[in-house]
Amino acid sequence: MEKLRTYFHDNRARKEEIPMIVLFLLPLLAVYTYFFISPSVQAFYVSLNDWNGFTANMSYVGFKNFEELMGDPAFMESIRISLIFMFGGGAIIFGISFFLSAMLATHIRFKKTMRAIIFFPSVISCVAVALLWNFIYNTKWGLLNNFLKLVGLDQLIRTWSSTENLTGAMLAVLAWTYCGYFCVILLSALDRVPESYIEAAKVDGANEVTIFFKIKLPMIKNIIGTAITLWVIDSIKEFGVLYAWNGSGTPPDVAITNMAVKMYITAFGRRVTVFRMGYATAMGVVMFLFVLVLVPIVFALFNRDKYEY
Amino acid sequence: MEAAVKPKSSDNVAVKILSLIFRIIARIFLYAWCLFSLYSLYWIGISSLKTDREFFENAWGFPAVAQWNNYVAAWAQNSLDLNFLNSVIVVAGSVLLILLISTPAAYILSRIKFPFSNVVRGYVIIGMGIPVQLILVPLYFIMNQANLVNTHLGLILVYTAISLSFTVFLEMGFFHTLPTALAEAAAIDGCSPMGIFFKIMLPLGMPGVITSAIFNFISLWNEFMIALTFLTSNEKFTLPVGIYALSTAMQYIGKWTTLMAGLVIVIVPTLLIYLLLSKQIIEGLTMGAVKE
Repeated sequence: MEKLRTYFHDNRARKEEIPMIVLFLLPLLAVYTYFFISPSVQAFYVSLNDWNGFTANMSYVGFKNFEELMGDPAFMESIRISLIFMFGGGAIIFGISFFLSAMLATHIRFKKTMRAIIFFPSVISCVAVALLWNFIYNTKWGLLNNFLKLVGLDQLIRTWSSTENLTGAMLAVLAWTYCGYFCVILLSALDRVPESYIEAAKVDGANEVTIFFKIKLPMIKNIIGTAITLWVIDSIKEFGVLYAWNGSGTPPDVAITNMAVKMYITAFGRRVTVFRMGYATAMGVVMFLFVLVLVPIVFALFNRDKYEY
Repeated sequence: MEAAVKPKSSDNVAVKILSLIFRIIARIFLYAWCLFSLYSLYWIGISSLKTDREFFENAWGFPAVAQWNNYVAAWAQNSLDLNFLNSVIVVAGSVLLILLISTPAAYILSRIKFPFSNVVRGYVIIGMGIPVQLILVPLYFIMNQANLVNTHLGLILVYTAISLSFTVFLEMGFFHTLPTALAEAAAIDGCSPMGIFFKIMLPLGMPGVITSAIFNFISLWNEFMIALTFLTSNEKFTLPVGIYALSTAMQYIGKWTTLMAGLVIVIVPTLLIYLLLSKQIIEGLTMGAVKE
């Protein structure tokens, strides 16, 4: 009995559990290591080589790929696009998500229905999203320009898919796709803020806006941190909508070529393949470094002084 | 004294009016957002039933006669039926394998401490922070050597590998919250550790397993980049890659409505699952992200 209590209260493994532990963990560790961690580690080595992928021999070139990347204006541009998506898109997405979740966190009617509607773009294929928005943005018969004409805002009509407008136009696409996801995460956190705190603030005469900023927001700080971490990783990886934007006929416009797209085109892209595997993998390493640097910063900013409730 | 109070009360009125205006604008934004999302779906649906002429001449209107032929064209003539079947095989295979591998492991990692269990946990979770682009090239050559490029088995293995971190993380959250009383009672009655898992903890953790299945189904059904990389021939394509190929073909010949029908075909399965299980999906999302 004494032994049992220790087992269930500090969960330490007992002798007869060892075969089970090994049996249950082995398949996971095998598949995960062979198909995920091992290529991750190999990537760092591949990035130090010049390799066209057709022959088995790579030639070791040290940090030459990285030096070349730093002097490659096209890659620098793709970093700029990635950062616009991450920071500009992040600001828009979190602005809207906070806004929507703040409203849904009050006692509003049709809350669950609206939450479901707001979330659904997250379950739609990125290829479908790309095609849908292509139709929305089409200059001649697209929904957006048609709508602007209908409401008399003709001066706003423009070629949304042209290079100078497309980066900004894509932010709206990303916002539409991601807001539901982050809205739901934030909403579930907001809903867990104890009602008693809110009642107390109301008694003291605080309005809903004050309650949101002064009470609810600080209390869900660590979940905001988690959400931003997810966004940092997702935005760096963002690929599908951008790559599928024009169909497979032409390479994606430079206005939406972020690091992920640039990397893919360099390694595998069908029309403009460069087959520079080492060089492309160096881009993958740079993307990983962005995650490696930015995620701890987000953590440091948001996971301090957590509120217990 | 009076002078100090008065401006405050008029301030209050101003604040109240401002807050009312803000609330009205906020409401309008919320409803507009929802309306737009619903309309976009409706628009795809309605466009898939138009003739190409109607589509160009009247982007907003209703088709005179529903053109179900668009679906026939997308489904049979443009091999989306085959792509659909491929998607079902790959996604079902992957989801099964993912659950088979991750569920027992998540149970161990969330409930039993052993030497270096924290290290193993960290090792598994760290995959969530690795961008897939990092592994793409080395993985291609691992797959190439094993003759797994352009096979469904290969795609299933890659999908499984990249989904394990998240799934284990999600399921650990579920197993962590389960009560121990039943397991304790069973152990006192002499039930083996395996018996405790299969007879008690697994049935109790089933909601978590099902939520993981739904999440993986949706994300893998929509997965595009890896399928695009590892599938090279049309008859192996999954739906997202099939639609992508179709979009190019249809743009050349101007059959946009066929493409719209294709979009409906790729959207409907996830949307259907979402409509049926949205409560579970949203709660599962909460489970993964909003952990104590």
